[in-house]
Amino acid sequence: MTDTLIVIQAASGELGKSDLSAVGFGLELASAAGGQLDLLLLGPGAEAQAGPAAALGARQVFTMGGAELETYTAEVFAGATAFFLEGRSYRCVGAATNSASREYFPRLAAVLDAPMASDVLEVESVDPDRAVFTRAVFVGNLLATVELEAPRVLVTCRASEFEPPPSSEAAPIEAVDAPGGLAHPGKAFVGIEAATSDRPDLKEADIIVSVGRGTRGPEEGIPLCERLADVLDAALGATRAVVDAGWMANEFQIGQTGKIVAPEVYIAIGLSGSIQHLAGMRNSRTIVAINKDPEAPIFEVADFGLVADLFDAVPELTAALEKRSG
Amino acid sequence: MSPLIAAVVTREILWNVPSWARALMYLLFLAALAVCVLGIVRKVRAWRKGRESGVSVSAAKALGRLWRDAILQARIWRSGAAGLSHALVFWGFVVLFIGTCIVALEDYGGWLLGREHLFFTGNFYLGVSFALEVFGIFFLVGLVLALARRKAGGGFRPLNRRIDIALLWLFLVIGLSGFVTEGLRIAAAGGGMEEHPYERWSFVGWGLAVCLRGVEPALLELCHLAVWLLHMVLSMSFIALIPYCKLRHIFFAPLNIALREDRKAGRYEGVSLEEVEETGRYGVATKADFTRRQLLSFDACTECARCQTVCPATTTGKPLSPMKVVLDIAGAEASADSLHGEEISPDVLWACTSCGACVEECPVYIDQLGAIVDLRRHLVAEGEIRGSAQGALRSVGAAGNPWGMPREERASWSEGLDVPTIEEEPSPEVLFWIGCAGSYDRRSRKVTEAMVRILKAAGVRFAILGKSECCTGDPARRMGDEFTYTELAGTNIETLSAASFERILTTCPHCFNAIANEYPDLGGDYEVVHHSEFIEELISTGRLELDEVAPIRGTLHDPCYLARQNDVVEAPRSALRSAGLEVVEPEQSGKEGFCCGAGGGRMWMEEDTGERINSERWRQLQETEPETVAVGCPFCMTMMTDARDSVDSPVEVKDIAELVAERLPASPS
Amino acid sequence: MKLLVTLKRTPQRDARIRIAEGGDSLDLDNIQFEVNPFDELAVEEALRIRETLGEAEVVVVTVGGEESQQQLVSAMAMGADRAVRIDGGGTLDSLQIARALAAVAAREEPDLVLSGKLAVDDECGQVPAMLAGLLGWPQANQASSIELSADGASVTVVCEVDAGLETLRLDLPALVTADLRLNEPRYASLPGIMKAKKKPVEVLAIEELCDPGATRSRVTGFRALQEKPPGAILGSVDELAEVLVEKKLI
Ligand SMILES: Cc1cc2nc3c(=O)[nH]c(=O)nc-3n(C[C@H](O)[C@H](O)[C@H](O)COP(=O)(O)OP(=O)(O)OC[C@H]3O[C@@H](n4cnc5c(N)ncnc54)[C@H](O)[C@@H]3O)c2cc1C
Ligand code: SF4
Ligand code: SF4
Repeated sequence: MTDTLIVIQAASGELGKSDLSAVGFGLELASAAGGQLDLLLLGPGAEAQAGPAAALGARQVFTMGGAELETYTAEVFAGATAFFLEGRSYRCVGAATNSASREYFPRLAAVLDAPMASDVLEVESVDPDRAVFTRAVFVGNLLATVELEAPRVLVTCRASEFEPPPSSEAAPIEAVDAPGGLAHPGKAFVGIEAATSDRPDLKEADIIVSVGRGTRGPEEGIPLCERLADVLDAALGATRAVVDAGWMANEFQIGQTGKIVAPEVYIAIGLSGSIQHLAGMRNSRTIVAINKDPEAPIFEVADFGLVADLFDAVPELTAALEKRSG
Repeated sequence: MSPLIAAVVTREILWNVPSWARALMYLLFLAALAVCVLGIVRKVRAWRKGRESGVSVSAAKALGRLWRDAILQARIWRSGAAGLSHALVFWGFVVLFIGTCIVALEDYGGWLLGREHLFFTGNFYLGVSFALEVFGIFFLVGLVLALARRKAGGGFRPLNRRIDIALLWLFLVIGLSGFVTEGLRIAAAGGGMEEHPYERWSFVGWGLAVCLRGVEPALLELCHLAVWLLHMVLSMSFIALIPYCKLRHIFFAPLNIALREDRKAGRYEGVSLEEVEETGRYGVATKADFTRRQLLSFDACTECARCQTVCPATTTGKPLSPMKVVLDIAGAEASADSLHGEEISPDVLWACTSCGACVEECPVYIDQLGAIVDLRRHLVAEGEIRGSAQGALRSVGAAGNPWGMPREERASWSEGLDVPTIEEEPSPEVLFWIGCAGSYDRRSRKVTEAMVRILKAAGVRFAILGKSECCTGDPARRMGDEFTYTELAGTNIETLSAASFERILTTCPHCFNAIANEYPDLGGDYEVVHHSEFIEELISTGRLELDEVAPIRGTLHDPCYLARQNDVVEAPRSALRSAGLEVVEPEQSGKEGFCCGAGGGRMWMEEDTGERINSERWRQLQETEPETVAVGCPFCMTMMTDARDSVDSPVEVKDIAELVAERLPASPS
Repeated sequence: MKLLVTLKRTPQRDARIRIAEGGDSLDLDNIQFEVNPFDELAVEEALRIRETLGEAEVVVVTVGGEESQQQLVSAMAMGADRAVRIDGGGTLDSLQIARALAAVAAREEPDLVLSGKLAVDDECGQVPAMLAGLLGWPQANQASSIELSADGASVTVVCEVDAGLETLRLDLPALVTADLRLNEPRYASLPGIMKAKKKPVEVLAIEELCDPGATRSRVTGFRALQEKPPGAILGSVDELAEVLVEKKLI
């Protein structure tokens, strides 16, 4: 009981970036426990992904497909994983945090009667009867140490906190047949509508580039900020002044009478930081401000400030970040 | 008909009116009276379904009010042509009515006492006749003026133009037919004009008679009877109509004026939490939830539209018109399940800035704002307060300020400024109440800091509460959340009562209003001054000296909660003049000022219908061509600054305290 | 129809949480609490379903001490009909809580259980799915819309998943968790609060309901994420880019 299993949702034929990180996380778990890592690929893309997955340092790769696993549902995935675990012993069963593992992992935990740690940032230690992790609580304002006392634990990880593993020798691949009757008779998948916007949603974005009156509108500064947002894969936000001027639509307004956001990074460009605006973003983890007026109140809440003309600074920053990210 | 009238200076009452017509008159009169009384009784019954109001008014006070606001029409005069036209019609009507009474008294009195004449003779007759002519003309001129105003249109939007105009015509025809009847009588009665030269005193009738000279007396008599009938029938229909249209104000307006409650518009009627607990009712859902006095007041509405003309919401295209709210309530069936609906919608109710302009303007003292707040309370009771307004209420309750800023940062502004807290300065002359904006809003903090400089320069012993200060509850109360208000006010009263100080000083008129006018109802009695008053006092008592400078041209935007609700009009102006401002008044200023748009909880709601109120106000202020716009309220500051920035104007927006602080003599150090 | 809403007492959303001296607990003195915002969405949704049906019972349930009574009252002030509080005594982990709730669900036999997708304090988001697992009911997570079928036998739920919006149909009984866009909760009103005080709250000791098992997951310590530096004014764009990349902010 020192081995680790990482479960990967193989919806398509290609391993996702977060899946790679999850494997990295799995390797950390396995080494902390002094055991080996196995991977379980679930879903229609399992076979196609098995090859690349086998070259990530795992001991073995299992795949499970079939009609019932064609579309993901929490009931089927929890059932399939539970079935797979029957007769196999793992110290840790893990996955990357995503909308699927957020629901099927706890369901699985209930079925298996195993304690679970969600969305961990760090692996502290994995002993035979105790596993210790670090995770964020209170909107990421604090870190908590969580101890799970059980011979088998479930754990999901925040993918961005773990490195994808270097490639290594190919591991053996084994196809496991899915049992019948996994699907819950009371649940039907009706359909999925793919997200249309090419930018992340304001409320969920990790990074927000927010523009103020200082940008002087869609003909001048706003495109510069959009470029920066593109490079950062950030959402765009705006002050009411920008919305009132008709430069951006209502839905972009952040603040007291707009949206209330708390991203990891909030980049405020050419906005003064009125209390009405602060009311909507002051809980952001890190606030960066670019403003040419050193007296602008936004600097009082900013973690990092740059007193500069945005028309110079924003393109420069975009270029610098582009260069760094290669 | 004996033609010996000339012997006595008088006239024959009901001359040329055959007995069938007299009978008809009495019949119609009785019918009209019955219809009228029925209408009134119905109204009174409807009022009685309301809650008991309690407070009573002394007779002397009631009479005083009637004299001022009914007889002298004091409030009506304010509105120019409309005021003139109403006063003319009113006085005309009153005197004509008295005239009719005199005639009736003479007639029936004589009949009862078996005498031919009582008192309606000689000089009295002539005097009365003359007065009736004069006031009859007033009446007609007033009506013509009113009709002309409606023709011209303008900002006047009465609820039902057709009925409104029909009523004016009804009066006009009654008035004109009265004069024509008189003219025909003078021309034809008792041997004609030559026999009664004294009828010249009835100069209008006389003039008409002159024009009719030479016409066949029989024809005159026939015409007289016809016109008299018209006059009589219309007058009777008027009596019958009174309770069924806006004319009802003839009865109810004086009643409301006499009986109204004496309450500042900024001091809201409290709610007994025990009562809410008992009945489960809070705010107004149905007509019966209003007090009787309120129900009476809505029926007093004259549909004059003065309130909506001054309402910042109506004038900038919001769905709210205070007049319409009043009339919708008055017009609703007493049995209706709910007043709320399409007409009185949440959008209508939330549009109010609680500026009180309507209340100040209403000639018959209807409290539209009070009604709106009562209706809002129902929305709150139903949980129908969403979005940013709900967010502000939650923050106020949880964090003690509407922006949800941390409590522990409330006094952060004072760091490094050497500002004593009440613990450090236990018995100060003034307790400086900072307010939420003054504590957290970085723009308003500058005002707070300026005030601190002024206090120090004047050597005032002052202190702040520091972190134990919290929101006065004003936003909650204006939005209709008495629960949160009572809790916050209770906490503050506890804090304040534990401290010792002479007066409370505040830079926020909303805090001022709440503490000065509303806290006493909860047992917190304090003397409160607004900083403009205090600065003015420091200057006039020589405690504060300011540098002389060349005056700059500026204007003052009066905060509603200072000028209108609390009558502080002169102090800010005089403080500004001392600070070197040449104060140019905008058209709407002082107690008649136009709201900035932030009151009544609007500060926490988006304004996406119609014109922005702050932009409209900014436009008005710009007509004075100021270099500086002075404000005396943190909300006005935000609103005026935002309006200025949206048009990219170079005009400065500064608080009175900042303008004064700029003139402090440079300290010797 | 009966709707069961699970809720948790969490610190007020604007509150600044500090770590108590010693580092193994939080300093929660002077902190105000409220109904976990996501649970509040669940309560609102239950009330809306009741409104569309005209008749339904909304029962709120929490696992917590005496102090969480207040949050039950808040939910009843919004309009829930009655409340159940399971007194757990001491710290319970997600699975224990889910077990207690499953026992309540077995007793109450609701048609639909609604929960928030996550509690904003520990941010685990485990209990609802565990509860569904224990009950063996179909579940839908992070709902942005819930629609009851005309015959009242199933719900169609739109879920916010990473790939977009997924539509599921669940036969009742089922469990659905609420996401931000599901609705906008009403304000717990004054008369509501008054009325709520008179509504019944049933208090049950956890042992009366089930064998919760041992606590196997616990938080043993807290650390502040590196204290925010006092706002640094940087000298150049390069420096800013540097900081952003170095601090793994980007
Ligand atoms: C009821 C109400 C609700 C409101 N709700 C909201 C809300 O929800 N959200 C909101 O944002 N606002 C809200 N406001 C408006 C708020 O008061 C401010 O007006 C607004 O936030 C200001 O927007 P801004 O910072 O873009 O503009 P400004 O305050 O004009 O700031 C522009 C900034 O850009 C800087 N700048 C200019 N040129 C350059 C340059 N070339 N390079 C760098 N910097 C430059 C300037 O120094 C200045 O600091 C509300 C106001 C009211 C009255
Ligand atoms: S208080 Fe002001 S905004 Fe409200 S109805 Fe009256 S005039 Fe209009
Ligand atoms: S409420 Fe008053 S001001 Fe408004 S229309 Fe009626 S009488 Fe006129």
